[in-house]
Amino acid sequence: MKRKLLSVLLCTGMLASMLAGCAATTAQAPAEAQSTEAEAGAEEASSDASAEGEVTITYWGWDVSNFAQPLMDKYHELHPNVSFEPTAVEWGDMIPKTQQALASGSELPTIIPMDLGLLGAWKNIDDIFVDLRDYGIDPSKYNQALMASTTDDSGKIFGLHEAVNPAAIAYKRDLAKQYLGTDDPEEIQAMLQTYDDYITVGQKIKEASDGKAFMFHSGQAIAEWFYFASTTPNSENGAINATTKYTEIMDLLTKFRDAGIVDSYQNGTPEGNATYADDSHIFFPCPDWAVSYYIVANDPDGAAAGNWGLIMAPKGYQHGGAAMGITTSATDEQKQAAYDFITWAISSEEGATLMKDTAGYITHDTTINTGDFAKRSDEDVFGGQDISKVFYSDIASRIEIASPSPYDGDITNVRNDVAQQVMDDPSIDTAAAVQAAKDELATIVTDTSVEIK
Amino acid sequence: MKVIKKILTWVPLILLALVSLIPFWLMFSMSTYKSEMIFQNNPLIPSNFLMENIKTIMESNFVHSYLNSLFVSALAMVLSVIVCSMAGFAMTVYQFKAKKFVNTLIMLTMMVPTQIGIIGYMIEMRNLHLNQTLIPLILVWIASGFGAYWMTSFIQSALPMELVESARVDGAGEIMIYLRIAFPCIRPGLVTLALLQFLWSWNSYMYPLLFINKQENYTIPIFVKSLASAYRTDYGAQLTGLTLATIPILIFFALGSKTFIRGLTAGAVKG
Repeated sequence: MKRKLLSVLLCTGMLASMLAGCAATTAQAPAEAQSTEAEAGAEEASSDASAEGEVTITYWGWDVSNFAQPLMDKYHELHPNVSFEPTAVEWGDMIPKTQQALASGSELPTIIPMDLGLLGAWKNIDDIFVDLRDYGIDPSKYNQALMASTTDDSGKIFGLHEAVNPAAIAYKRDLAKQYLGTDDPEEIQAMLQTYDDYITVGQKIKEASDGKAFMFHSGQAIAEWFYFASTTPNSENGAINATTKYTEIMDLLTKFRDAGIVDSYQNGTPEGNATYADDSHIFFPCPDWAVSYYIVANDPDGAAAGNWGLIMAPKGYQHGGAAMGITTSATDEQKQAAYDFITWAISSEEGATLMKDTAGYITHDTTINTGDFAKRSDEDVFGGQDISKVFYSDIASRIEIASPSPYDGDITNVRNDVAQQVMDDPSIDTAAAVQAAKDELATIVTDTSVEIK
Repeated sequence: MKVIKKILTWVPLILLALVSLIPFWLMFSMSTYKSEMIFQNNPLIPSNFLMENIKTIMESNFVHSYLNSLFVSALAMVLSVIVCSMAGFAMTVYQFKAKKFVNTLIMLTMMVPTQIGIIGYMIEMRNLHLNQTLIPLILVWIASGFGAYWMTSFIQSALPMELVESARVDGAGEIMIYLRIAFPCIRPGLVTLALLQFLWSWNSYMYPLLFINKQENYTIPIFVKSLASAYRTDYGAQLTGLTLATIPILIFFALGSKTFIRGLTAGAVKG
């Protein structure tokens, strides 16, 4: 009898613990659990803060060592009572990790950076971020296109962009001279005013090189360029503008592909990045951060020789970048300290200079970013060309950003997949590419109330 | 004829071995390159950047993450083997009313995808005030449906009930029977389960991702992923981290390979 009892206890005990993970239901509703946690945290932190004036700001982000840590170290030096606990979280894991934490009522960090391409998804997570207007932000002094992307329909400002990231088109001077007869940025710019010009010039390169040289290295890279340059909103009135948006992108991509001016490397892969240093790919979409991360990193010899040039794309656009938001579950002290830190980093001469020197990011605060503030120290990569003017004066002032939608991440992933299919299979035309994109999107967007137009 | 037969045997085997080994070699070889140089050269031939990559990961949090992973995986492995073997022993040796029901439940837990239970597990850990520690990463492997099922099946085929009965006749207690009689008989099964649990825990990404919010608690998979900034992924350093991370797995498999295979094939041939 004893043995039987023992065996039942052993097995059921093990099963209970085994099932706990599977079957444990939310005894508390997530929101309720979240608020209880927040209240508990608030009490704890506020007592700490009032007793010693100490505040700890937590941060999850994918750019800790390069961007956040140097700013945090300096801020802590200036304000010893403010400490930071940054956690590196991979870019693609930011939203799932946050959603799981919200659903389980676990702690959220004080500051969350939101990638430009996922702003809509972040905005869609209910009330996770404070309204920066409550802390006295002056939106008029920042880049208006960027501010609009972090302002919701009610006027709430849920994040502040770290920097302006204008994107241009970079090219290799030696290959331009060889195939186009000039490496002068003004002359190249004059040749490339419209997307059709790119096709004409690309074919000229193809002929001059006997088909060996391509204008661009990757269909995915130029699809990304067309995507960011498009101002068509991804969604409107609860419906996804899939046909309009993808037609815009795929039509250009298939034209470029059919003209034979684009190679089929996958964007951002080590193989694709190696084309920065070869002698068969000439032009590359180039946000300001790509100068150090792509050009100098992948083509150190060419960079040292000043073998690069820069021109504006047909449309001014922003590529990449992130906005920092402050979570509502943080304590009042944490929120205020986080706001002070963010505005110090972006809107003070000291913080913005440090951000520029350590991460290479240029603030979009127009009261700081004046005169020679944005003057880059790496213009020798471009043979002394004034790329600071191209990026931060010529392009930054005409940046347009499509209003964020909750489906931006899905639309981007599908665009990337289909762009590669288009490059790998020349029989896919615009209509087939758009249909493939819509079909794939329909499998990802599981909300049946959302129409995929 | 014999030569042709040999060729037909060896060529496919060599090809299969190459298919399996080349990724390993590439992982090592690529870890000797600066990230941006990997595909500007032939990545099959090692370069000279290994020490720089090692320096990069050492200057980050690699050693601490490595120790965390070792701690978590070793503890998860030991505890899981103890609990699962006890469950398997109970399910095999004892007869009790709810046995069939319990067995069905064990099977059912194996059918439920981990992702479904993770929020419940997070709530459980939060209520136990364990969510800022490494303990959730250990506990999750201890009560393993697969482990209980595996040990039950293994004990059924490897432990003769006559031995248990004889031990009882000789006056041995149940704990003594479990430790002295059952344990030696089921060693291959235990080793197999231990290796699998260690491997799963060592490679686990989702649980650390959701539970770890402090750099000091990073495990290897999270550390490796963190070797990327906004616009650059340091593949060279990541692959160096991965190469070093496979060392304990290789050692464990090398030490236990014979027993591991015996465990996997146990019961395959009935005498």
